[in-house]
Amino acid sequence: MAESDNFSSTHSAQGTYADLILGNGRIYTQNPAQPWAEAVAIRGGKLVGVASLAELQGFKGPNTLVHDLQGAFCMPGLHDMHTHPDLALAPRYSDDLDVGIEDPTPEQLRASILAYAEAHPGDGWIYGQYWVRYTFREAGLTPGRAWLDSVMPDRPVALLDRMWGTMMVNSKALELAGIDRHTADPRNGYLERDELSGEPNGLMIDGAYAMIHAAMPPTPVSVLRRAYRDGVHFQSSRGVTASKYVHVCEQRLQALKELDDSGELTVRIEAAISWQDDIFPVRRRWELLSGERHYYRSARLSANAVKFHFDGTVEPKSSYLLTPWPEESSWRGKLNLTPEHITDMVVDMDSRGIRVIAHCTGDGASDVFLDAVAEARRRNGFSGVRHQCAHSTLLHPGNLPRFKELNVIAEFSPAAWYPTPFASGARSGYGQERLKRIYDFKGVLEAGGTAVMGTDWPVASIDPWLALETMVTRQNPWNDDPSCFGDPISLEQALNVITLNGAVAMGLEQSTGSLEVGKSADLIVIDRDLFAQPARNYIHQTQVLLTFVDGQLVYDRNGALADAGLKAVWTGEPPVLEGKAQ
Amino acid sequence: MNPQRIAVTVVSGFLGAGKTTLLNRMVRRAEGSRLAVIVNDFGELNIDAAIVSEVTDAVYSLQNGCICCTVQEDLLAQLSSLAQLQPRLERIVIECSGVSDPQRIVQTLAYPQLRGQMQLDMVITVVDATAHLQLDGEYARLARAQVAAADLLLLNKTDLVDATQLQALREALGLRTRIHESVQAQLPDALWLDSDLDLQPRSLKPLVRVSSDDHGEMFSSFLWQSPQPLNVERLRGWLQALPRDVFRVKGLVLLDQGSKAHWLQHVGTRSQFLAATDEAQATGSRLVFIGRRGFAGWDALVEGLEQCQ
Repeated sequence: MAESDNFSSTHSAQGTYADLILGNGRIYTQNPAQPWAEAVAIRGGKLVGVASLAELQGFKGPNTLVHDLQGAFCMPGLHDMHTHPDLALAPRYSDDLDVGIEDPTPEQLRASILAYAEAHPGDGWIYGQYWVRYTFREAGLTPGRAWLDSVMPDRPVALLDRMWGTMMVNSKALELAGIDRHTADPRNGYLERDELSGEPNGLMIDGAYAMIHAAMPPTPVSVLRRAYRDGVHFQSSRGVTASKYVHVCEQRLQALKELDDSGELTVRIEAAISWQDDIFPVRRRWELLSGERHYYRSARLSANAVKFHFDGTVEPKSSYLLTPWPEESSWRGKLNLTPEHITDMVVDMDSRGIRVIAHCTGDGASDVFLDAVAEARRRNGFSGVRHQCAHSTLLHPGNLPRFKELNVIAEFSPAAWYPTPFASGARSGYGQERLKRIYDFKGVLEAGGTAVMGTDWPVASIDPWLALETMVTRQNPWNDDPSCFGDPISLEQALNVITLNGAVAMGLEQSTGSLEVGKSADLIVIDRDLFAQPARNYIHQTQVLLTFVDGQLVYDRNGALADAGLKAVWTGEPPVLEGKAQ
Repeated sequence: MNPQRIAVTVVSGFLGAGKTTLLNRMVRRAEGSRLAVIVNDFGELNIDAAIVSEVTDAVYSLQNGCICCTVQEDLLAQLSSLAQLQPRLERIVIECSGVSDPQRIVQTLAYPQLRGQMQLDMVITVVDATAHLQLDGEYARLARAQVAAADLLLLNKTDLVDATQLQALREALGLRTRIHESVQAQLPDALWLDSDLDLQPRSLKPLVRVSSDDHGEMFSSFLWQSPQPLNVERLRGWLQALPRDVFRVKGLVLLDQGSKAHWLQHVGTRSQFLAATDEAQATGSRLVFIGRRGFAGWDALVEGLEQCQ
C-alpha cells in the first residue's frame, strides 16, 4: 500500500517526542545567537531542539532514534544557486547519432546515417554529430542539402560539424523548419545560400542552428529526468540541500516533477523558466509564467523564477561593459535586449511574484539590471521578491551598495574564481585591471548585500566544496602557486554565503539555511572540522557522510543509519559526473 | 573582382610553415595600394619602427599605405570597422592562427553584416615541405583542414627536400588543389593580386593574350569575350572541371537565367557569382584567365566555354 500523505498544517497533530536526535556532534549552526551546539532533535522534518544532548533528553521517547555523531562536524546544507545538470548530462544520454569517427569521410558518414536510420525506423529526425568539411573537400564533394538528400531524402536530418560552426541539414529538415529562400538570416548567424537563386544550401552557420532546433521535437522527458536524477544524486552526496536550475522549459519541469513524485528529488530546487529560446525552445512560456508553473510546485520544487540572458560572455567579448574592452577604441559588448524591454519585463515579473534571474557578466549589463529593479521598486514597492544578478563577473564599484538597497542577490558563478589554465585564459580577456576586482564577494558583503555562489556546471565543476575552499583562498586548490584572483573572504563569511545567503536567495530564509528551532532539518555531517586546518587543499577534499533534507535522510555514505532502520535515498561514493578539474 | 567590395585574402598554414615571411612580403608589396594586414602578433612581423608612420588603437599605419593590426577576438566587429575606413581599403589580408581551421574565418566573412562590404578572394595555405608529412594526431587533422580549405597551396621550403619527397608531398596534397612551389614563401603577385587585370575588350577575337609585365615568366593570362549568354549549370560544371594549371578566372558573365550580368570569380575550385550593377549589364561576357605559362589547354577551355552558350 502506498504511504499516507503526512503534510503539516495549523491543526495537524504534533507528537511530543523527536523522531531523531543527532548527538555528540560539533555543530556549526549559522545562528549568531547560538553559533555552536552539540545535538539537534528533529520531529516531522523540523528542528525542535538545537542544544546539548543533555538539554534534549526531554525529546527522547520510546520511538526516538538517537544517533551518535562521534564528534563529527555538522552544519546547514549547502546552496548552489546556479547550475545546469540538464545541459551537462542530457546530451550524453540522448540517443542521437554519434558517428564516432574523428574525421569521417563522406562515405563513412553516409554509412553511419543509414545504420542509424535502420536502427531507428520511422520518419523521425536524425540528429547528431560529427562531420568535417575537409573530408568533403578532399573527396571533391560539396556538403549540404543536395548531398544529404542523396543519402536520406525522406527523413529530416541535421548533423553538426566537429568545429560546431556549421550544421548540415537536408531538404526535409528545411521544409519542417519552414526555411526557404525568403527566410531572413538570424542576427547571430546565417544560412549559406546559392548565390544566384538565394535558396538555402543546407549549411546553417552559428546561431542559425536554433531555427532547426525549434522545429525538432524537444529533448525527451525521460532523458531529462535521467540527467536531473544524476545531478541531484551528486548534489545530495556532496551536501547540497538547495539549488537553482537556471533555464527550464515545460519538458524540464515535467522531468523534475516526475523525479519529485517518485521521491528522488532530494534537493530543494528553484527552476527558472527561460525567457529566450537561445538554448532550447520554451513552447509554453506564457502559460507557465501566467500560472501553469504552480502545477509543478511542492516543498522541493518551485518554478517562480525566470531566467534572462542580458549580455554575452568574455570569450567573444560580448559581455556588456561600461567602458570599452581592452585594446578596443569603442567596443563595449552586446546587450541582448533593449533597456526598455528589460525594465518593462522586470516590473511585470516583479508584480507577478516571479524572481528575475538575469545573466549579467559585464558591469554594464548589471548596471542596466539594477536600474530596472530600481524602477520596479519605485512602481511596485517591495514585492517581497529578491531578484538575482547571475554571474556578476564584473561589478561597477558604485553598484556594490545597490544590492542591499534594492534587495537584489549578487550571485557569483561559475565557481572558477581562482587561477587555472582555463579561468586565467578565459577571463584574461577582461584585462588585468578588471581582473583584480573579478567576482567581488567581498565588495558586496562589505556593502551589506547578499552574495551567493553558483557552480554553473558544466561551465565549471559542480562540486560545491571547490567553490567553498576557493572563496576563502582565491587560489588554485591543487598547487602552491601564490597567485590569486580577486579578494578572498573569511571562512565564516564563505559558510554564510553557501548556506544562509542561499536560503535568502531562494526566499526560504525563514525555513532553512541555519540550524535553529522551527526551521527544516536541512543539514549535513562531514568528515572534517572545516576550521581545523588552513583552507587550501583541505576544504575541497571534504567528504559528506550524511545529508538530511526536511529531516529525511537523503544521503548516507557509509550506511551508518541503515542498521537503525533509516534508509537513505542515496548511499556510497558520489557518482562520477565529470573528469578531475584542473 | 567586384570593385565595390574589399577583397579578403586569408593566409593559413601550420606553425613554422612560413606565414610570417609571406605576410612580410605582402606588407612590403602594399606600396601605393590600400592594404590592411591582420596578424596574430604584430611583433613577429619585425617591421622597422622607422617606416611606421602612426599608431592608433593598436593599428599601425605604415608609410607605404599599408595598415597592420592584430587579430581581435571579435573578428566580425573588427572587419566591420575596417570596412568603414576612408579612403576605402582595397584588400584585407587575415592571418589565421597556426593551429586553427581557416574555415572559421571563412564563415565569418560570409556573415550578412559583411557580405555587402567585402568578399573572400582566396585562402592561401602555406605548407612546410619539410614537416607537413611528419605531423600526427590532432595536428595532422588541423593541417589537413588547412590544406582542404585552401584555394591555393604555397608549398614552401621546397629547396630543403629532394625530388622524391616533393613527389610524395604532391600526392598527399591531392590532385585537385592548385599548388605553387616556393622557397622563402615567395608568392608571385599574379596569384594573389589581380588589380592589374583589366577587362577592356582588346580586339574582336574571342581569345586574346593579355600582356602584363608583372607576371614575369611563370604565368600567362588570356581574355575571353562573347556576346552570348551562358547557361548557369553548364558553366558551373565547366568551372569545376578546370585544369590545375588554371589558377584564376574572373570577369563578367551574362547568364541565361534572366539575362543578367554577374561578376564571376573562380579561384582554385571555388566559384563565386555576384549580380552586377546596371551599367555592366549591356555588354556580353568577358573573362580573364590566369594560368601557368606553357599551359597548352587554352583551345580546349574555349571550346568548353562555347558549349556553355
